[in-house]
Amino acid sequence: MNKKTGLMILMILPVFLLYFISEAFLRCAAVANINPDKVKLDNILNDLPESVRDIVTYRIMHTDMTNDLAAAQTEEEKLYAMAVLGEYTRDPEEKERIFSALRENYAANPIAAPAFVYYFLNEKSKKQLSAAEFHRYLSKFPQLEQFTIWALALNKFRTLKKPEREQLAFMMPLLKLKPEYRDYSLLYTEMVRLASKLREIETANQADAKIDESRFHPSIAEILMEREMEMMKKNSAGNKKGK
Amino acid sequence: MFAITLLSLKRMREPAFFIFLGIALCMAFIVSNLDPIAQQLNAESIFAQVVEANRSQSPLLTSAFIMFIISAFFGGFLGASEIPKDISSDLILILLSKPIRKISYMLGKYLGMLIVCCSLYAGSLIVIFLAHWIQSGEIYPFSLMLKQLYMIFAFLPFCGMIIMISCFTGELAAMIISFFYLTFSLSFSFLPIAVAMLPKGVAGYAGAAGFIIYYLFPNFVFYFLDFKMFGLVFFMLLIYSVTLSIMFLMIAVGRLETMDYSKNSDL
Repeated sequence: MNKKTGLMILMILPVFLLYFISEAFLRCAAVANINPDKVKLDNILNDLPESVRDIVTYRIMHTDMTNDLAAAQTEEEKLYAMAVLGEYTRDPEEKERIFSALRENYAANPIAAPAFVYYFLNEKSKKQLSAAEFHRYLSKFPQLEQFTIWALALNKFRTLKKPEREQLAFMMPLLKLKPEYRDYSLLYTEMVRLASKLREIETANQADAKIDESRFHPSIAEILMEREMEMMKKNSAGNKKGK
Repeated sequence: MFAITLLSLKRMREPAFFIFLGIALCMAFIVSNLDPIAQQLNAESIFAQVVEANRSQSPLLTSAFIMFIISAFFGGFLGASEIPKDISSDLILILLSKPIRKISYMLGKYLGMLIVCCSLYAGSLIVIFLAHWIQSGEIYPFSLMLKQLYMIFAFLPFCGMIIMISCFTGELAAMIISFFYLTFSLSFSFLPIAVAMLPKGVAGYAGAAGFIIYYLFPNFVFYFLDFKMFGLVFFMLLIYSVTLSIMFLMIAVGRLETMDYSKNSDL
């Protein structure tokens, strides 16, 4: 090592040391200026670089969901928390573990549908569900719940970029269905679009007829709202009696 | 070293400098009546709290802040071309063949650019203070005027950074790279403060990775901190600015030591 290099190292070391000390001190001074009660989590996240913000937001949400699952008291709460966490997590092992548990233990509950959608056409998983198996699963539920599951499954087709013919074939059982809700017209409209594109005129005509049929029925949102109103009425009546 | 500085300052006679100075002074007059910067920001934002913590009782003026950015931009624009111009015109060969060491040459250039930036900023501040006096009949308190001068510290690493980048690239590329480098440094400046405000362990490896990147950039947010005048923070800010500038200049000197000047010559 020559004299010049030695001198350079002798100069660099204290400069680096002083830099890190002053930087740490100024960082503490900056943090000390902030009143934690005044700052919202959203504001903190907005000040982070985008790449870091995404990871930190994920970790916060994941921690919240894990806490919700741990705090769940009823079976319904636990099931809901598991479904939400299973869908949100980016850890493939955790996802598999949660969805596998949901599929085995809560097959009869529509809240567990994301687990079945996860296994549907999932070639990476040994527990993959075929279209026929998924149709059997769908048939367990009344039309009110079926609609969301149909929508989730169709979304999966788009995510996996499956051929449109395959998607249309998957939707064929809808033609045998007697629609009870207006929302189903959306699914039939999609069928008409696909069938027209694939030149399947007969199917397109059948789906078109179903659109007209479904339009005479109430929407799912209306039904749910009515149910909620009835529940509220019952509750308020119960409270009055109690008083 | 001072001869090199004088040579750089002689370039201030060029029309470009006077045009920039004129624009800067006009801008200073236009923005002189703006409220302090903390009042322009959302009080709940981190930056607003860093800037206004009621420690110095002297707010940072928005006009001074704007003029700091404009002076840095104009100063950077003029300074980024200094070394590439010397290299392309082969003037650097003549200068370094004299008994001038590379480090003296670099320090001379650095000092020249620092003087340009500071004079643009100081000139703008004088216009701001005068405009306030003319329009309201009141003179700003001395402490408030002094507070605006603190931002001159930020020119120390800023000039070092521009000089370092201009040693690696041509003049135009130096300006573009400096702009991106500054943008990134501002984007990462809030990282340590934001991470400190998060619940423990939430940032995890993202925080650690972010910190590694953060140390590659100067943190200009420190220059807008609200702190007691001539206290420990002031002293640390001075050390931070000087050490950061030394690091940038050392990289620049290292580059000059290993550079083949004949390849970049226009002649």
